[in-house]
Formats: sequence, structure tokens, C-alpha cells
Amino acid sequence: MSLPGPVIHVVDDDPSHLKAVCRLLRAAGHAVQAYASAETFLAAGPPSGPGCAVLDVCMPGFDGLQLQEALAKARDPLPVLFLTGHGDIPATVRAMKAGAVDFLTKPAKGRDLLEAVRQALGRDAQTRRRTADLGRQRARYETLSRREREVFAGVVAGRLNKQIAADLGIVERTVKAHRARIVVKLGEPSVAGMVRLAEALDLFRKKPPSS
Amino acid sequence: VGITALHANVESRLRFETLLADLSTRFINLPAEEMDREIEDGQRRVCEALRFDMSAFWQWTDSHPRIFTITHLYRPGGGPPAPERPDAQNLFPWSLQQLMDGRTVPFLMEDPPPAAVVDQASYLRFGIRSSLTIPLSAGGGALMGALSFNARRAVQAWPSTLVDRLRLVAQIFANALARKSSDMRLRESEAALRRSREQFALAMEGSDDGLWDWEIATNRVYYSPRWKEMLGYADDELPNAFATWEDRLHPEDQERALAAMKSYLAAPRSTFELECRLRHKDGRYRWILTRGRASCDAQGRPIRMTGSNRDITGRKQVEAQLRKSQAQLASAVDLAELALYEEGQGERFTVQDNRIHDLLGLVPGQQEGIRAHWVNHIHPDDRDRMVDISGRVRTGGLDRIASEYRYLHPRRGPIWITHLVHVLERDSDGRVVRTVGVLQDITPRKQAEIDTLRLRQDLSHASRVTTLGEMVSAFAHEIKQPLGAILSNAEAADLLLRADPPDLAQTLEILADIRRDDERAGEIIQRIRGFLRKRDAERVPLDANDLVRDVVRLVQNDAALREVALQTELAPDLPRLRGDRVQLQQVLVNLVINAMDAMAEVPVGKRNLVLQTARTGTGGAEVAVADSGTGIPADRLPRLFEPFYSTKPNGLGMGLPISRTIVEAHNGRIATENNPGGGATFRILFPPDGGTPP
Repeated sequence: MSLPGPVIHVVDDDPSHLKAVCRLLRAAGHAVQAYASAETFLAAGPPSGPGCAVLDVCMPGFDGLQLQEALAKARDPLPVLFLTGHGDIPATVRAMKAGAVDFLTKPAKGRDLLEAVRQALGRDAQTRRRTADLGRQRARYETLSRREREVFAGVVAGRLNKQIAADLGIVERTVKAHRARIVVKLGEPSVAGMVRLAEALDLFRKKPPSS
Repeated sequence: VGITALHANVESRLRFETLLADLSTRFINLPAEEMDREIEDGQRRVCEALRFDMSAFWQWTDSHPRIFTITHLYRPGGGPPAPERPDAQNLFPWSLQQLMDGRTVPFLMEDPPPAAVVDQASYLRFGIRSSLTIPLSAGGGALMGALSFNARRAVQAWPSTLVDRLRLVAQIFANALARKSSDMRLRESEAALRRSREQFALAMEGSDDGLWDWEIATNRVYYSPRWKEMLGYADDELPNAFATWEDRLHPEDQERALAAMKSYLAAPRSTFELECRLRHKDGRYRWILTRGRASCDAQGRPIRMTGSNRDITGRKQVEAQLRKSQAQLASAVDLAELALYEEGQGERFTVQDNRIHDLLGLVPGQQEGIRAHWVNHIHPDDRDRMVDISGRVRTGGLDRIASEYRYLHPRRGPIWITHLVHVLERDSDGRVVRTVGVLQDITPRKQAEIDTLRLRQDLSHASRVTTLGEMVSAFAHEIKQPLGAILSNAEAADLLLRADPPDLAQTLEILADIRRDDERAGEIIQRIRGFLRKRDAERVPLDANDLVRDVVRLVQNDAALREVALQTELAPDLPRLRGDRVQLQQVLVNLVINAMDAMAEVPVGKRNLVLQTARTGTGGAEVAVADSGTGIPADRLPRLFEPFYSTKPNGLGMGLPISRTIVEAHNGRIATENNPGGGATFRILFPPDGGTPP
């Protein structure tokens, strides 16, 4: 089974322009999904696979900037780039501040559009890789038993085996045995690596480790 | 954005913008006395323009600073009698609280806020169904007043666009008010200072003395003619006797005077001195200063006494008045929060209170290092100038200075100070011995000035007065859709044809779409042209000079702000032209703004813009816009009127093409040339028949 490839979601209320842009992106080898309004895009549900969104700013009803805001709330937000008839400065600033990859004005050259799409897809792939790594690390962490998590917390807090043993009311030899198992389960032999992991998973700071 | 819809409310908006620019221009530099009249006139004009029934202007009462009342009421339709001095606290307590919190207060009888029961009853009483009240404050300071607009007949809703406009009006009024109050305070203190100076001068005037010589043994007294004249008598009218003096003493002074004389004679040492009242021939009393010296015999007994009399009635009156005017001056000084000081040699400062310490941020009571502290805290941009002026005062040349400068107060941060220094005394080398100085914190006034400037910047956004700009961007947005589609389609076709095998079927589809989009672009252009021509029916006879005057009113703020000297040269007896006033106004505004843009790089003082009208060689009217900018490079001249051709960084390149379309729709033409002395001139030439539609 192969993973689904990236999809470019194009939203434009001008049907002719929508069709032309989709055609160009397809001719350049991309998978494309076209929407005639922000509402139809949202109604289709949040896209789960990789990709990016190409939005028009001025649309009746929900406009491009509002759609960008709505998309940003998703768990894995798609990178957004704008393609618009009238790029006024306030709208551009707002879009870029909200994290838009690019802001192109119509008529946009094919080369510029394809380059902006390439960058957006690159950014999306990077985000997804990072999310996936994090997911794997979390899965490993979650194989630890309750006691092993307690010992892990002591280790990343910089406490010695002796101190951890005293904290938990167990003997030092047991702590050592737990540590050996933690190293195997996490695939992480160094204390520095464990601290990094704890930070990446945001353990022990804002919320208690999930059980 | 529909172009037709856009044009629908343009005329009313332009009218309002003109009114706003007018009001703002009129209030700038308006003398305080004329403020009241202008406020009422402003209320009337806003009400007329926006069809309100009435407008009230609220201020704190002068005599009762806690009473907020109506000072200007515009109510042409009359209505239930308003109380003489309505007190907002009693009539509109909820609204007043909102105003104090800096909020604009809309009120609709149909939907009153639950907490505004008392306010609602008052509105009912005065027959008001809808009202908007805007707080007035300068630079976000304390509430100075409020401006309300009301509707009595129809319900007036308060959409944000309307509220924003009225806030601009209110801001103009607020700035004027802030300036008025600081002007008034300054004037009061100046007047008080002047009064006390005059009275000093009066007191200094000398008067010659009357002499007397008393032989104690015989009780004979010689009175000089001047002595008698002082009391209104000729020389022969008064006997030379002690009783002449004694009888004329004021009953209240008699006992004191005789006792003083007796005690002096009992042990005559140094000088006798007495101030008492003597009766004048006219029955009134004069204040007389008597000074004398006794001469004694060998045993030390006084035998005679000689002296002089001086009429000090004037001085006594002046003293009384001086006491009064000093009190007035002190209160004026208090009111205006003036800090006074006197500086003697060796930087010895004399002050009456700690106000100067507060103002300069010194330690209370500090005596040493005042000058150094002052110099160190002047804003670096103003320091050299002030040190230079101060030096010129000290070493000669300058006897009186008045400066305004910024001062970095150690606790309060940057403030504005106005500082007057007057040299009282110099030594023989011209070095300063004594100066007096007055300082005042004028930060609120400066803030108001800055706000006014900022307001003018708000008012000057050229885009607000050019529908052309909006039309251009609406048009540009529409036309870019088919243009964008054509480009993407062409590039897609390019890729499809290079593919192996080439996708001919889809390429054919693309070509059909390109053709359709090209037609669509053509239709949009036709629509714009049609829209511009459609207004042919609205052509009215116009005077080119009126047109220029309208445009000047619209752009005068902009010109002032960009430091462009705007000048008109209007020819009399021009042939009338027929046309659409708004469209032609837009063309001219567009040309004027282009001209000002072209002068952005030219130094201030050399930015001249001339709007000129003339009769053309063929007997038509001509309007010219001439600037002193950088001119138009020869290679650009032919392309100037091409769509999407722009030399400005953010230009859409549509202003001139649309201007030309409008002018040509009026059967006129636009000509461009570079001026021999630099800059460019755009001429709109109308045909002699006044531009009959083709």
C-alpha cells in the first residue's frame, strides 16, 4: 500500500480562473482539487493527506483570509498561499503574519506559481515528518510502565540513582534495573537524549504524563 | 465590487469630505473669540449635510467645573423648551458615565440600554428618538466636552461608517477646544502681568514736595506755596499756624499723628516720618508723607523743626491696587501654572514656590546646579539651540527671548516647555546681572497641535476623495481574472504540448477557454466605457473656475501636509462647458495628486503647483495643472496613457487612461508637456461648443 501523494486544494470564485490554474498545476504533474468557494472547501471536511492550499483573497461570503484562519485551527494545518486579483498591503500583511507561504497577484506567471507551490509542499512535508517523529517517540514512551515513568522522571530531572531510590522507597539496584529497561524501550541510551525526548513530548512541564 | 454600486454614494461622500476639509481648515489658527461662532456654524453644516434635526455641544461649566452642560445648541426645528443650564448628571447620568470612560454613546429609543432609564426619560421629554454623543478630548486626555447629533422625526441608525465620520468632526472640535482653553489661560496671565506693570510705572512717577518750617516756641509754621497747593489752596488762603496742619488731619489719624510728633520731640533723633491723611479744599482727604528733622538748643531741647510733605495718595491707591492685582497675578500664575524665577549673578536663583522645581524635575528646595540640570535635560535635538540662545542672553545682544523646546523630565518623560527670559540688569561690560524668567508646561497644547496635524493626515488620504482610485482598483480586480486565466491556460498549454505525447485534445479546450476569457476582458472594458458614457445624460453647464475651486478645497489639506504651495490663476469670462461635475473633478484631483507625487523629491519651498484656467485658441475652455517636479522623461511621454503603465512603485497604471477616457467622452483632450523651467504640465482642453456628446 502506498501513501497518498500531496494534493493541491485550489479555492477561487472565478470559475474560469479556477479551471485555468488547476489545469496548469495538473499539467505540471500535481494532484489538484478545485473548490468554487470557501464554503464548499470547508464542507468537504478537513483534508487529511499532505498538500497545500491556493486561495483567492476576495470572495463573496467567507473570504480567503477567513478561510486561512479556519484552516489554521486544524491539527495538521495545510500551508496556504494566496493568489489574488488585488493585493492591497493590509491584506498582504495580515496573510503573511498568519503564516502564508506566499502572496501572488493575478495574473501570476506559471513559474512563480509552481515555485510557490513547491515551497508550500516542502514546508508541509517537513511539518509532517516532524509530527510523525514525535508520534513514534510518544508511542515508545507510552510502552513504559508506571514505575518506569517515575524513574524516567527522576532521571531527566537530573537525580542520582540513589536519590531516585529514596524518592520512590525502593533499593538502588531496582532503579538500575528499571533504567536498563527504559533504555531498551525508548532506544535512547544517553541521559541527554532522554531529556530531549521529555522536552519534545512536553512531559513534566505543562501537563502530567499521559497514562 | 460593483462599479455602479460604488458610484451610488460617492457624491454624498464627496460633499462630506469637502465639509470636513473645510471645517478642519477653518479651525486651524482660528482666534479664540471666533471659536464659539464657528462651532455653531459647524453644527449647522453637519446637521444640514447629514439631515440631523439637532446638535448639542456640551462642556464643563466655567463657574462650576463639575457641571456638564450645553453651551451650543443647534435646533432649527424648535422643540420642547430646554432648561437654561441643563446638567448632564441629572438628565443623562448613564451617557455622562459612558463619555467619562471615553466611549461614544449611541442611543435608539426603540432599543434603549437597560441602565439608561433616566437618560431615556430625558430623551422622551425633548422629543429625541435617536442620538449619538461623542466625547471630546485632546490626545486621549480628560473629557473636555461632548458633541451630540440627534434625530427627532425619523429614527436614525448609527452604522459604523457614519460614526467614524462624525468622530472626525468631533476630533476637529476637540482640538479647537483644547487650543482655545490654553490660549485663554495664556491671555489672562499676560493681561494680569500688563496691568501690574502699568501700575508700577505710575507709582514710580515723582511729585515735588511741599516744605514746612515750624518755630516751636511761637507755634508759627511756614508753609511753602507747594505745601498749600497740595491741599488745593492758594498761598494766601491758609494761615501760617500749627493749627493749619492740625485741623486738617483726618479724625482717624489725628491722635496717632500728634502722639508721633510728641514722642519724636521728646527725644529727637534722626528723622521724623509720618504717613497721614490731610483734608483737601474739596473736602476729600489726601495721603501725605511728612518727613522732618528737629534742631535743638544747647540743652538738647527742640527749638524748630523743618521738613517736607509729599502727596502719596496715588501711591497709596496704587499700593492697594497693586495688592489686588498681585493677588490677581498670583491667581493667573496659578491658573496658567507658570513657574517664575529670578536669576542673579553666579547662578543664584530666587523662586517664590517650588513650581519650577516640579516643572524641571529638581529636588524640592534645590539651590545649586539648577542651570546644569536644565541643560542636561533639554531634548538633545533642542539642546544646542537653547544653549546658544542662553549664551547670547548672557553675553549681550539678546534682552528678551521666548522659546519652545522639548524637555526630558526625569519623572514625567518628555514634555514641552515655553520659556520666556527678560534681562533686568547688565553690568558696564554688557554681562547679565539679573534676569527674570517664566516657564510653562505646554505639553497639552503641543499635543493638540500634533493631533491636529495627525487629523489632517487622516483627512488627507487622497484615496478618500478619489473615486477614480476606487474605480481603478475595482476595474483592475475584475480585469485581472480573465487575464490571469489566459496566462495560466497558455502556460498549461505550453506544458501539455511539450509532453510526450502532446495532449492535443486538452490544448484545443484551452484555446477555446482563452478565446472566451479574452472576450470577457473586452466586455469589462466596454462596461467601463459604457459606464463613463452613460452619465452623458447628467451633463450640466459648468464653469471651469468653479471646478478648479472645488478641487482646491478637496486637496488643500493634502497640499499643506506635503508642503506644496498651491496656487490658482483663474481667467475671467470663460466659455462654459457641459459635463459631469464629479467625473471632471476626479480627473483634476487625479492630475493634482500625480503632480504632488512628482514633487516628493523636490526640496520644500520649491514645490509649486499651479492650477490655471484659460480660453483656448479655438474659443473653448482649458484647465492646466502645472508642477515644479522632476518632469517626464522623453521616452516615457508616448506611453503615459497606456493602461497598466505606471512609474509609481504601487501604481496600478490606470489613473491616466481612465482620465483620458473621461475627457474624451466630453469631446475634450489631454495634452502633456514638460515645462522649460522644470516640471510638467497637463492640460485639459475642451471644445468651444462646450463638449456636446458625440
